[in-house]
Amino acid sequence: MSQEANQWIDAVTKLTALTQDGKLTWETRAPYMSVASTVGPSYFVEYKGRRLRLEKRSFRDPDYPEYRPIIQRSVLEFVDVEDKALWTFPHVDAVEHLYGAVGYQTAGVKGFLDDLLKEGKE
Amino acid sequence: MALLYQQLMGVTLSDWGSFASIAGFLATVCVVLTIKNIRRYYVIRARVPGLAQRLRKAASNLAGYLNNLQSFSNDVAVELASIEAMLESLRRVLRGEYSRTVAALLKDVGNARKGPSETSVRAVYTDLVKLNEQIRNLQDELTWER
Repeated sequence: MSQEANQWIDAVTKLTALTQDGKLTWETRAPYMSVASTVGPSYFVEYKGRRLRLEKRSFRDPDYPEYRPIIQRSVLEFVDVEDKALWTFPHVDAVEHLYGAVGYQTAGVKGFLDDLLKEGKE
Repeated sequence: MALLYQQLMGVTLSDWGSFASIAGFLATVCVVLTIKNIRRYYVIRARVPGLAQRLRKAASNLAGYLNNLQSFSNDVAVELASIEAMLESLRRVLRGEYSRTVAALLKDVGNARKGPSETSVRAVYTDLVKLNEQIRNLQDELTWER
């Protein structure tokens, strides 16, 4: 595998680890209006002076040119202060996992689960 | 030119027979290697897509468990065992660089199974995502190979 692909995977898995460890706190917003294909909420975070946006978008699958089913993909981007995309991370599976981790964090699933399990033991 | 003619005239039928048998041997080696390659190609085509899909699902599961490792410790143990079995199957099919990556990941999985900590499970997860990307590239290459 190319060194470059490894580098993106390392970067995204690092963001996932920071999110899961609670060192990176994402904020939830309604989808960015200019991107009509956005599905669900958009997540934002500032890290090392850069603003990142993570959201799920629907695309026509380029692998099936005749019957182009709609697929959903998570997209991680650098954005400016007006939330306009500056650069998009290459799509790797780790971006999907990051989306899951951010959803887990922003929905407060960990706290809910811990409380629920603690309650069951008491 | 005259020397070459003389040499050729000096070659006996038995010499021609020897040349032919050496050429036959080389052709047989080529055929055996080609058949082995073709066999490997079809084994990879048949086995890898299923395993790759399951490994991608496993990486996704591990990422989910890492959200709350304490609560999912039992699930992590089951997932690691399943990943180990899949990697063993994959190692038998792949060769070269791919096989070495799988072997290194198997070592990580072995360590994580002995004492699952966040660091060891995360190392398995990260390397698994990299392996999945590598397998995806291999599958793309195979599509163009024949």
